[in-house]
Amino acid sequence: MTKKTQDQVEVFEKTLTGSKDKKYVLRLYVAGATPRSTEAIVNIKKICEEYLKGRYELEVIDIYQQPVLAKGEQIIAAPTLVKKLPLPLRRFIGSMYDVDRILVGLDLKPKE
Amino acid sequence: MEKRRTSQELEAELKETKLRLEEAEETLRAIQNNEVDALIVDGPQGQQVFTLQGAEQPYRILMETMSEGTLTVAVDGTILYCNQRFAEMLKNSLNGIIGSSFQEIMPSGEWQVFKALLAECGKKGCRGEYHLGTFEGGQVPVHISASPLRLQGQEGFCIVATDLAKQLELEQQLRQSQKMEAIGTLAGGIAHDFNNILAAIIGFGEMVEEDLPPDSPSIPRIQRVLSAASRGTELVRQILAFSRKAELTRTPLSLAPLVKEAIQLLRASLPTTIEIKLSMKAARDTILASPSEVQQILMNLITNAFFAMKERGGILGINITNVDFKPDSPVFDADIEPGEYVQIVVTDTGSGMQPDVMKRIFEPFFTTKGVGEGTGMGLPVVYGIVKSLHGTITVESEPGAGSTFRVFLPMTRTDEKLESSEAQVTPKGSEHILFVDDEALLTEWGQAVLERLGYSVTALTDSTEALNLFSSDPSRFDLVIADQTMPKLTGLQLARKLLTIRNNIPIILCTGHSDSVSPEKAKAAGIKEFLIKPITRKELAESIHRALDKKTKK
Repeated sequence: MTKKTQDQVEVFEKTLTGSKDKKYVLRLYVAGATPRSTEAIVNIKKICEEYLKGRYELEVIDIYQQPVLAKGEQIIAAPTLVKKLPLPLRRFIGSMYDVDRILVGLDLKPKE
Repeated sequence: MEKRRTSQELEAELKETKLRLEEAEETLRAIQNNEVDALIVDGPQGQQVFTLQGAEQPYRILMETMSEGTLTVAVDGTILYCNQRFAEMLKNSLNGIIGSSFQEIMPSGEWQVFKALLAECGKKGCRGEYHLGTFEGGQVPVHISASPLRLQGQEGFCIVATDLAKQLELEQQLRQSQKMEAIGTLAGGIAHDFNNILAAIIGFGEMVEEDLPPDSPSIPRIQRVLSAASRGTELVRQILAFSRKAELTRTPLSLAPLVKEAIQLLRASLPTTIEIKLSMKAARDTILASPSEVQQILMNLITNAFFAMKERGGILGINITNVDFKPDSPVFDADIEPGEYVQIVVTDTGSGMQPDVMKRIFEPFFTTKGVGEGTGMGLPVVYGIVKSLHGTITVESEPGAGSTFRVFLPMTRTDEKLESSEAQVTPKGSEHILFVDDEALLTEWGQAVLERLGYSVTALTDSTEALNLFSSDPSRFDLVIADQTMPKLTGLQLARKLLTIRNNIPIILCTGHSDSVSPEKAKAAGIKEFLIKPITRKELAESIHRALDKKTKK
């Protein structure tokens, strides 16, 4: 095993160990039943159930029905996923179809 | 002076800036890739949402304003969208529902059935009745109608959920009222026959009493017969009371003496471990009711309170106060009219009730008492009477902390003549009366009683024969007394025909129990007096007197 590969394995293991017990608090802002919003709900739900089962709280907020909440979190487009916990706070925009990108953003997968 | 930042702080700030930059790049990329379908823009009119598909707006407004719950669900049961109404149904917030799974809000047994139903849901959709769990832990019955929906290449469903709670409650009320009606009809039928029997016993009994010499040892015996028959009469009226079909004579009466009388009557049977606290603070307590109705309300409530304190004793409180429901006051019962009410509060410090028991206490035949201790008719009777008096009844109770029943009865004007039990002289007369009743025993009694009162009587058992006789010489009779329930022509039909022949003939209509005629209906037909069987000699004499007086006044 080369040093580079070994380093990458270590990072990966560290990431996994570090995020193993952490509780995730996520907030998904959607725009009613628009196509991308529904896609985002399905995708993020799938990710949560697969990678964060039993240790996540997902709140889906409709920006039409609660625009005030969206303003508070500086949401400029929908769908947007906000990772409130664990810190740091992160935002992901789009329909969340790129699972790898979301996993990296959620610190559930090391950045390549 | 600006504080010098540590390298750690600077490192964190740099990291944060990098992240924000990444986010900005991602936002641009997402918009370019058509991954975003709404933008939120802060404008002069506040925050506005611009969807990239404005066409959905009308449908959205439609869904938001629907009085049914609407939602879209992914094929795995994830709720993708729901309207405010659906959130209200589940007593939850929109955030609490969108994103959760249908499986989480449906009892597991029903979810399996529903899932199978969705799997077979064709183009025409599918429907069924299920339960959904509310946020507070309760359940709401719903009718669900689901239609398949294609969501961006994925299968899903559009669901309309109708809250059935109100409908089920109405159905329950309907069943209840049908049950009450059936019992009422049964009781009414029996009451009619019983009243005829009792009429004969009372009628002939009174005659025997009158014929006996004043020192006869049989006088107290026949008085017992009459008293027992009167109790029987009262019992029949009570049976009819709960179905609100009792034909009782309501007069303005004061509550205070009746309350005292009820307490006196029950005091002897209550153990000394039960203390009675009576408080009568009502400045005015006159209501329009019959004494037996008020007695039934009080006796049933007091007996129940006593039963709840049977084991450990306690305090039985009876309070009479005045309450004024103003038109704008939040009246708890939609049926109650604003106005002045007399409030009767019966409290006990007994065992109290569980919520499931409390829900059913006004149902006929529902009882928590053992066999032989209660019939389950006490509170339904109270409920029936209170409603028929245009009042309302409420109950508050907690297990172990006693119960409070509040009865609100509308106050009546006190200038109306108060019920008086003063003995009056039985009026007599000499007019010619036509007496018609298909019961031979009662025509015999009617003839004898009226003749004793000085009248000349023609008594018949056939209503058509009575009509023919009257038609042949309309001026021959001064008054007609007719029974309502007769074959061929009923009392009311006969009366109408007689009045077309001679419009000023005074008519008295008697009934044992009949749904087809009421005092109002009789009055509208031109009938002077309306009597409920069994009729005492005195009642009959007074009624004749009034009917003839009215005629002479004309």
